[in-house]
Amino acid sequence: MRALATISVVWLAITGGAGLGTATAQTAATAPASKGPARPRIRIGANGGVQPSSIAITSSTTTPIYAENETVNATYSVGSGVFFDGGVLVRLAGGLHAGVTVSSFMKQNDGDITSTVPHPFFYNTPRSVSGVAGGLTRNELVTHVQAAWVIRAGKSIDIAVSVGPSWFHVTQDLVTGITFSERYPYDTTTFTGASTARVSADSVGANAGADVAFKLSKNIGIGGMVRYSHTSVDFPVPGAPTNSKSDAGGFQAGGGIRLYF
Amino acid sequence: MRRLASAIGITFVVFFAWHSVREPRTLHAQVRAQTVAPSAPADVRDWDNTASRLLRSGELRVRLQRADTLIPRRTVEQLDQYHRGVRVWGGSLSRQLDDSSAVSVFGLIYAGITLDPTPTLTESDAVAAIERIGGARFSSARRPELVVLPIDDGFKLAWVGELMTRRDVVRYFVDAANGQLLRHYGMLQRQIANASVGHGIGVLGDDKKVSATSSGGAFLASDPLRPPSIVTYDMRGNTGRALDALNGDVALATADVAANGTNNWTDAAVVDAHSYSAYTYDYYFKRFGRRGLDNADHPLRNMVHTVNRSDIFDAPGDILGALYLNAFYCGACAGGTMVYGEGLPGGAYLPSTGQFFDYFSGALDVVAHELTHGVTNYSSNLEYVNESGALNEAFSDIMGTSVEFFFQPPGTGLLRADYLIGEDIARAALPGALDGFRSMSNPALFDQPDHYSKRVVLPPDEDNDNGGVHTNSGIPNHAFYLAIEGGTNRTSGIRVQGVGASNREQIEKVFYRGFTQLMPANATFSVARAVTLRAAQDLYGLNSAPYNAVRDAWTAVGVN
Repeated sequence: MRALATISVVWLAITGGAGLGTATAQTAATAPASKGPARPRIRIGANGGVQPSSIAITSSTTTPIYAENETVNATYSVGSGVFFDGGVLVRLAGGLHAGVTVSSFMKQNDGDITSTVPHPFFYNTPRSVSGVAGGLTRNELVTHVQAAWVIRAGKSIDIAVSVGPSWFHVTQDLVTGITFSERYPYDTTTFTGASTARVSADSVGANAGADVAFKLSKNIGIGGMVRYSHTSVDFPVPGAPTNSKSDAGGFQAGGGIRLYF
Repeated sequence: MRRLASAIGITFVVFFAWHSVREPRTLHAQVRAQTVAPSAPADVRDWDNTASRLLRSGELRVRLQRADTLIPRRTVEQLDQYHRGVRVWGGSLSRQLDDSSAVSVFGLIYAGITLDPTPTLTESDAVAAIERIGGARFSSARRPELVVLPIDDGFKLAWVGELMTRRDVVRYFVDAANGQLLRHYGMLQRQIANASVGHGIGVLGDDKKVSATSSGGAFLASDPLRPPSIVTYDMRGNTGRALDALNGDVALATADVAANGTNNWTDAAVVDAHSYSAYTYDYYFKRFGRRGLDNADHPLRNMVHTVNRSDIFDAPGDILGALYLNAFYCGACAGGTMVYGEGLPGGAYLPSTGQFFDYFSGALDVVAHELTHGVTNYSSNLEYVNESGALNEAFSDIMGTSVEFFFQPPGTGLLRADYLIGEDIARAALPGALDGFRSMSNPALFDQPDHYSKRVVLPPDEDNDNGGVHTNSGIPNHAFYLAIEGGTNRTSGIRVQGVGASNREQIEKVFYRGFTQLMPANATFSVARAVTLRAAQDLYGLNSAPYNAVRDAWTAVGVN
């Protein structure tokens, strides 16, 4: 529900901008249509940019050891990173387009681990262990299906606003256990490492965005884009009774080339 | 002649090493491993020359070179074998150099390697294959290495990498041609390979952990987690074998060790003997840094079920007193053995005391008491007669109670720390009877003196408890109690300001130091006073609170 509300806000902002664009277009529309440049039927875009959002994930596993359960909790913060996308828009009628864009976001992050390890001699005397698992990879491969409205904001400038569903395939490295060293009398332990597993999950979400393109020639242009997409995914964690939930997607801003046909 | 044969051997190996480079496809792949351990100077010189030649050709590479820290001008090199740029797993030489000449060369070199060192699998493929097999991810710090792996019938080009799995670091070798697993083994150098912690139900029905050893699908009451060997033997009612073992006529075997098929231990006598003897070791280590009976991790051997409870009504009197209603530490028995009495059958009580008796291992203070006799044996070796004998007994009660307070919450009743001895296994069966054997807070409850003026003076023989050692121990016991808890001695009326329960560690340390470091074997109560005061002064200073408490406590019980 929170995610939908966020999308709505973005959508309103975009439509506000589109309104200005539309007004410009209407002014232009007073001139004969034949004088304007022909609308391209196919628009292809490729972008690179940043995804500045921050996503927090937690995972928890339990492992039987010393006649009790060891608990390993890990928190991961996926910070800003770069993304790449490529997509195509096909004009259906007037400014209405339909298209698909595939974006990829990859980021390496650390997992902060806190664990309680049972004492080998006594019940209910856990020892706390903490450490960091580095080099954990997160990968979001998202297919955005878009309904877009393209308007002209000038002779060489197009503005496209879009919205649609997104299919997320998210891969994440999660901590599944720790290794530790200990010695008699075993009142403390020392973190020596973590075992990880690469898990993935699929989920459907939504996207909304805007694209401003400047035509350099009939077939080539450059542009900038913003997009917000979101979903929530459930990662199955080996050794854990419950899945690890995570947000996916977020705000993206970038730019790249545009091809028109 | 030997030297000649050895030289031929060297030539043989070098030939194959050289030949494998020049004609890699003509030789059938077959593992030829040459152990290098020349002793004669000429042989060492030959191997030194060979190593230098292989270094120049790239078939050996220096992995490590360091100066010998013990002998001046010595250098040690570790040389790894390579086949066409790929490391040969396990092929290496260690060369010790004195200035420029070799002192020794040791190692293992493979010959007859013909395989093409070009892998079909890329490093990324290998990573994926190993991750798939291991079910875990490579860390960024660990990447696979392409190696030549000697196997039974030849050599395989393999990728080797280490994965951290849920409980181990595992080294995997996968075939560089197809990613199939060739070999794997754990790398974590565990302190304990076969340690297994199980559940156990003690004499009082309490659940505790049992440190056991897994062996052949079963679990043995042999503690592999603590520094000393702690083994609990289950004699299964075979009294003759138990006595023979205690007398040194037979050696106890693995078959005598208490065992369990599931590591869920239900033999309460075994559980408590095994656990409580270990707790006692823990207490001495944590409180005083002492490593067991002799401070050198002397093995702890427990023996339970030396008799059958059901046989008690036919048991001779000496067996009844020794193996049913007693627990003892025998320092001379098979290197030191704790024997725990079997107690009485359910519902039976001892008429003379009006008490039920459970398995003697079920009382932590009793177990710690008996093991402390071992500590005394290895320290002051207090003579077990008269006052020194009473001090010996008292020190065991003092430490037994201290162990109880270390592990159990204070209070009254079962599994609670108090100043009663044996209250968890000797329980009142008749009206007016008491729980336990002795009381340190009120020795008179069990007909012990609480003041030196009331001490018993008996002949120092077995018929008279070696001069009343179990009776007169009430006097130093009560002094220990007063030094901690404070209070008024019932006989002298002298009031003592104790250090308080929260500072009991101070008085425990004073008595430990006095009894194990300063006490002579033939000490009297007066000497005990002097050594504990000296210990208090050493630890906390003259006229410190612990010093004053100990001084006043001895005075209150009439020991000056």
